Amino acid sequence: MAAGADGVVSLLSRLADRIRRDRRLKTILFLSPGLITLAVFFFLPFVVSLLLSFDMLVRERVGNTFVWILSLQPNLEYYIKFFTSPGTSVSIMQSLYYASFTTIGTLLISFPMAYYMAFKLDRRRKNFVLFLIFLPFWVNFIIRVYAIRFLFHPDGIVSTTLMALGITDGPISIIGTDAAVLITMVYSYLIFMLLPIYGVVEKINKELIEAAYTLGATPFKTLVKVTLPLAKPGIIAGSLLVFIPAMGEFIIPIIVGGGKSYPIGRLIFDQFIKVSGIQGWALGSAAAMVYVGLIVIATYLYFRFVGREVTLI
Amino acid sequence: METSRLLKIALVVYTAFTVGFFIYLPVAVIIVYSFNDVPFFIPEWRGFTLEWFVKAFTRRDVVTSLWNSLYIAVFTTAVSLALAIPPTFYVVRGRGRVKDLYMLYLMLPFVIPWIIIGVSLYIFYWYLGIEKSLLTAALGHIVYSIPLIVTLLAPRLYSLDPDIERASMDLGATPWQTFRYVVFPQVFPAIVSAAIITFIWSFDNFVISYYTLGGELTWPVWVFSVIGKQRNIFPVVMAVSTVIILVSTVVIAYIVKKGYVDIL
Repeated sequence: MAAGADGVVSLLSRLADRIRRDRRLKTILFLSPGLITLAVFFFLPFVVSLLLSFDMLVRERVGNTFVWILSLQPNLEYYIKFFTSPGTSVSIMQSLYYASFTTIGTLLISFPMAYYMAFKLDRRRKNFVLFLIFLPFWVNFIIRVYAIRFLFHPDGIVSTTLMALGITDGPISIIGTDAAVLITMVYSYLIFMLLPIYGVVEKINKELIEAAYTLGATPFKTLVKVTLPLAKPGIIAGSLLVFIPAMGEFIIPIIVGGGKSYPIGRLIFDQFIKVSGIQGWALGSAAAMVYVGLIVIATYLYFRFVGREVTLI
Repeated sequence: METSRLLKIALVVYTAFTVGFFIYLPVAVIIVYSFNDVPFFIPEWRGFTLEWFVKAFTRRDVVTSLWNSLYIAVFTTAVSLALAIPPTFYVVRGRGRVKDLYMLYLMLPFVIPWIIIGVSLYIFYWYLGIEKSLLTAALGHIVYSIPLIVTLLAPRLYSLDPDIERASMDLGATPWQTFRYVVFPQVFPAIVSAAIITFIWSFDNFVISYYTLGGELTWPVWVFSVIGKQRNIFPVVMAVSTVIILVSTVVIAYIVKKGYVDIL
């Protein structure tokens, strides 16, 4: 036994020595924990759902236990079922509409704010405003969505204020409409647009903008020709961070959207609740893969026509 | 200069309005109405009460779910920092094709929607016969937190001067000492801010938790499971939210005041 233990010790010390000397091995060891975690808990599950959606994982009984067998014949059954079921195309269009509106809405609100925070505030005030923006995120998202529903109650603050100002005659009731969904989505996703844009705008050299003014450019022209192009990487990053999850949003449609608001996220969500077992999951996985496919296409088109200089980091 | 002053006033009003009304009105409503003596969430004021606070914190399911959220958020933040800090250094300092591929690999969970991460883990755990628990949910959170932390830390690392590290090594410090005494103090505020954001994210996450939790629920999942069914649970939920926002304001204000954190 002792000899065996010695062997192990010497093997380990030789290994440690090797690692100490070999830079490349050191780097690999340094990076592998993160790499392995993502491989096991992100990529592998994704592959399993992909295989399931093509009906390539088959469950078979061997004696008393079940084994899973990889079948190499992809079956499009679930995709056909997904695309031919009524309502799928409406769901997809609705998702694209919600996500596009949310992206544009958050962009229009965030850019002036980011511009103001970056250019007109000193460091202390900048941090204070960022602190103020972060604070509400401690309150759970679902509760905040209910709070918005409360604000838009026919007897609620928004409705009574509009009536008092004489903008509307009677109480307004937008809960259960697309308008409610869109307002709530812009509210919820604002921070994902604001932070990347602010991160980029904050680093813009102010002298470039002053130079444009000195050379006689109007404020509008300076914005279009100087500030916006420099802010573009942040705008692209923000758009991706908003568009991708906004397409799959299902909580907001459930709470404020009513029955007609049924984007693809809600479809996937329901698929995993209503139909349990392999059939439902496979169909849900197929819907999920279509969603990922749409994201890939949308991202490609966006890179192609807007630009591909993303600054995520 | 007149137009620029006008522009500045417009921007101030715009930002104040967005932060003040758009972002804060829903939160203000939650705080105010958690003291309302009505067992529902309706726009009708019937007087001040602390009843909901007493009710909330004497309910075992509420308190348990809050503790569960806290466990998951602390675990996720600690493990994700340990897993994400070394790759961030590599991404910032490394070069070449391998580095680009590695970065792409690391950032992928960031562009995959939470519902897909959740759903595929749900299937994956079932296929492997893994009993779902707080740990399986935390692993789902970690998957997303890794790219989140890399995104938050990398800008700060880019701004470090590599010459200072080289000087430290030239003066005889080991790589570990260089990290501990030269690099770490410089990136500490950024690490704290990344930790806070990861913590908030994990504490608040519903979508991934929903698919990866076992019988024990976290606070957001508990809220979702009761709120649609029991209308009279609203005041309790709002009371807890009020306490959460008060506690977190004090904690964050303290951290910011002490200068431990550097937001962005």
